[in-house]
Amino acid sequence: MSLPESLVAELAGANVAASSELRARVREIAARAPEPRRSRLPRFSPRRAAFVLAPAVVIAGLGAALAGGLVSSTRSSAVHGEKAAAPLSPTVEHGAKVFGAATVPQELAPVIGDSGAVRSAATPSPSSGRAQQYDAEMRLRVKDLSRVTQTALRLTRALGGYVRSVDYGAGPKSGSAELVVRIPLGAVQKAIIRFSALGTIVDQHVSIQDVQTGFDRRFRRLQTLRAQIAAAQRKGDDVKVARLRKQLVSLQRQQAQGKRRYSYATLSLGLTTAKPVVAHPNPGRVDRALDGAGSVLLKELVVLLYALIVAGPIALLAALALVFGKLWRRRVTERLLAR
Amino acid sequence: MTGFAAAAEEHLDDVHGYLLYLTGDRSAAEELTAETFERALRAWSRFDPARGSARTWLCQIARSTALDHFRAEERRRRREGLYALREPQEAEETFFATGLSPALASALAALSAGEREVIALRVLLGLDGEGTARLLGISPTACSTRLSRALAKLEERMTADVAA
Repeated sequence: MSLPESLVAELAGANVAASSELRARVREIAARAPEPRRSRLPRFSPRRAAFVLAPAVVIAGLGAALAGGLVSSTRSSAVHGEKAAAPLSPTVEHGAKVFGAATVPQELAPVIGDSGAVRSAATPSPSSGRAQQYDAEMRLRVKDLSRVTQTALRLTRALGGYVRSVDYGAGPKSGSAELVVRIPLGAVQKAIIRFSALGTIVDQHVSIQDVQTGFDRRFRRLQTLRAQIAAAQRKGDDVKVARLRKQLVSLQRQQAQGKRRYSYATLSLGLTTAKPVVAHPNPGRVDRALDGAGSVLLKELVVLLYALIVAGPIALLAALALVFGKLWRRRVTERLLAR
Repeated sequence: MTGFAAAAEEHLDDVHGYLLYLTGDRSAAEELTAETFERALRAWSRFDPARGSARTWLCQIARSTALDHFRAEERRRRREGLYALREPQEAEETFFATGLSPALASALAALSAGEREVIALRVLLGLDGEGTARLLGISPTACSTRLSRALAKLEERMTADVAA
């Protein structure tokens, strides 16, 4: 038998039995042990708890996200229902809106486009028997902004009108132009039809305001002044005649200005090349639920990330302290056992 | 007999032997053995048989008890350092087991407590490498390295004594 084996055998065979006094002492200690209680509950172990808790937390988080998604899908279906009630479309064919205190019934004429289809609902035509302030606004989506702007200006002049202002701006992706033109009242309907044909109508607005009352009042005043002038001439009151003639001339000037002003309609034409916003189709219940679940999950991840960012350095320091503490204790123990 | 009493009766000699090898002092080993079983009684409700045997568990408590004893001894030596320098030092009498040859006993006394500890656990108590490594808080590789160095040192000491 080699020395190491004999060594091992001698060591293993050594008698290290406790003395009888020590045995009695330990028996005394053991006698104080209480009767064992049978516990039905499994023993608590941090490792076992971690194995159970970790998947439970993940499942709870997913469950909360799913529940949140189902709840929000139920809520948003009501909102979608409400929204669906209000029509919304990128290309809208609006009817004309008539504002103002028009007391005379308006003659409504349908506006027919070049293709023969009705481009817009009935646009009121000006009344021939009365003085009216006619304002129209139109917004069109066009493809070639420059060409359409030039065409609109040519049309205005061809219809006997004139351009009051042009504001033109074009960029790499889109452009727009704002034109304000004055069209003779008799040609305003034709102007609206021709302008409508230049692009896709996005918006249209017409306003007619009756201003005949003012004319009638001035006309009556003119009649009165003429009668007063004739009476003053018969009396030979030259001073009075001169004063009354001055008033007459001023009122006639106002009447003429009014006639000129209200014989033209003001058309504001807005042109744009921007693409329309595509309306998304109503998502189904499952899609809404998934969207909702996704947003809840995203919020949970944000909270988790925030907790990691805030608690991460503290946890790292605690872990480092534990590791160094363990190493230090081991070093101390080895030093004690090295003596 | 309760579970604790049965475990105490079964493993008393193992714990006593382990502490004898660790301390090399019969009276200190007896005191520490009693202290170990006191502590074990208090912690008995936390013992989980699924995680290890009662013998390993008792040896862990014994080790912790011995280390506390060594720390207390070191503090005492530091406090009494000056006095010890003036007074003649008495030779410490070591005792490990009955039946050991004087050469082996002398060689064991020359080892450190840590070296005797691994010999006690692996050879005397017959614990396996993994169990011993877990008890000592080191890897199985480090444990077997420590054992082979301790045995080599023991063998070298014994050879030197024989030559002398």
